[in-house]
Amino acid sequence: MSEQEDIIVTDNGEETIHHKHMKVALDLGTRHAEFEGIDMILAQEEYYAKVLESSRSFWKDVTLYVTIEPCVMCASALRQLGIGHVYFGAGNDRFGGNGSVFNIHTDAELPHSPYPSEGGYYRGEAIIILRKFYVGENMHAPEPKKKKHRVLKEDLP
Amino acid sequence: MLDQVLPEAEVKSLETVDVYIATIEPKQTNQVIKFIRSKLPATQSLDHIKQIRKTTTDAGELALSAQDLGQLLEQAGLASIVTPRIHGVPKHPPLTRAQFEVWKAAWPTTFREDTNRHPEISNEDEAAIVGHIQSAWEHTAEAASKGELPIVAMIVDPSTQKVMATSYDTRTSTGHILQHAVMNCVEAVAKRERDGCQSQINQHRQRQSHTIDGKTTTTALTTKNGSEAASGRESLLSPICGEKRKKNPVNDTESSASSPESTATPLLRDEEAGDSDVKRVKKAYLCTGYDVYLTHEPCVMCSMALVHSRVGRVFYTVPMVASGGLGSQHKIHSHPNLNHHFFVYRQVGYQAQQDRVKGQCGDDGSVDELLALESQKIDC
Repeated sequence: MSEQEDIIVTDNGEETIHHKHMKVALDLGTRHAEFEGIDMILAQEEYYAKVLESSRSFWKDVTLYVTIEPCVMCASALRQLGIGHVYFGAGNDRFGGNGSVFNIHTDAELPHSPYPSEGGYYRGEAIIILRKFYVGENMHAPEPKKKKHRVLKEDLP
Repeated sequence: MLDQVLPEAEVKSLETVDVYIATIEPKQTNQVIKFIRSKLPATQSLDHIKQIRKTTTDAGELALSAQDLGQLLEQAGLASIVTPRIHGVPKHPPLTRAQFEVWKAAWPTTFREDTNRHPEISNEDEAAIVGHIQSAWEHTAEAASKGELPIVAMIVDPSTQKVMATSYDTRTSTGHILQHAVMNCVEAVAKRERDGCQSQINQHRQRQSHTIDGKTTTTALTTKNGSEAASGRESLLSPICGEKRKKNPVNDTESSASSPESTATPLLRDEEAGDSDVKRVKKAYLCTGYDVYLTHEPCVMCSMALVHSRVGRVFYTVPMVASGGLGSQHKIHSHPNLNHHFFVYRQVGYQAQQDRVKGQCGDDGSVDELLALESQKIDC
């Protein structure tokens, strides 16, 4: 999604949640899917009340399913919450915090308890979804890369 | 002198890898080197190792790669003058002078000091840094008065010393335990960028509708405006790494570094962007090259958020031994696999804070109060 499309959206005065999220995601490097999910849960009265009562006992019954391995930031966030279980699709050898680059989920030194995390589910599908996203261009980057000639590769490592 | 948190590779001690060496007479050097180059496989990732070490008896020693040497030496007719033995040489190239001085005793290595790894901080810059960290600490009182944890983050554009946002931890009031100072602060900077962008769009739209009334063609104005924006982008393009912003001298009189109070912003509110700022504000990509001031070492989550935000330098006062991600538990700012690295300095303004607490509660409580969050193993 380009800057120009942002402008069109706000021009109509109708910023849908989806668009807004895309925009925020591009302005801010930290709005990862895990945080979107956590905030969507906390936005619901019923769950928020439970969290206020006892955050730990609420999150220990929550399982996260995510297409790509949580990054180091999200891995730590999930540990601080006390997530019950994490299942992910493809590993992330550039940012991954659940085994690829760091082992935040099992680190014996960090505060809070470790949590179980398993990856590899629908790995191929997960990689293709991410590639489809990166075939698009990020106009917010300092020097946006021209990706006109980029095509979606379908072979898997 | 600021205490830089060096990457793991720069503080690791000597590791060796075994190679064959042999002591030879100087006049045999060429013959043996020729043999090594033509008959022996190249050594893997040992480019930093010098091939010859001079010994005191005026004979040279040669580092040879490990293979089935005996037979090859026989064939080359060198068996009588080369008697290989095993020796440990430095496995990695030294990255700092300190490493070089120690490691070269094991075997001579090449070394070129990379000053980019340890940028010099001028007295002027250091004074500004100390001023900003002091200013961050002054905001802890406000956090505490609202019942929040006294943890403050402040993001500054080092090219102007302008404070982009100041935030404190809000996990207590919101019940959202991930709303740490750093997370709030990078979000505040992003919001500032968005608002700057929005006001520019509004201006653009205003002018556009104006023009339509005046029956000028809309396209012409759009193009003009577009090219204006484009030229602005060029001249004010955000640097890719933190280095470049720092090169600008600190001489902005309007927000002089010597008076950090004047630039301190209300908590959790963006600094007001004047009209002239709007264009510039829009150009920043995330927090590229910004300086970050923290009262406490950030947790792993916040440390990685700073990597994602592409910051240039981080200064913090209190190391968080149990939870810290920038030196204590991990060194997320300099991990070789991550795609962005930044400089980290710890215990910045520590003495000043210790003195302040001492002044308030006498000698006894001083260190305890400063380390209260640390001893509770709080994630900051």
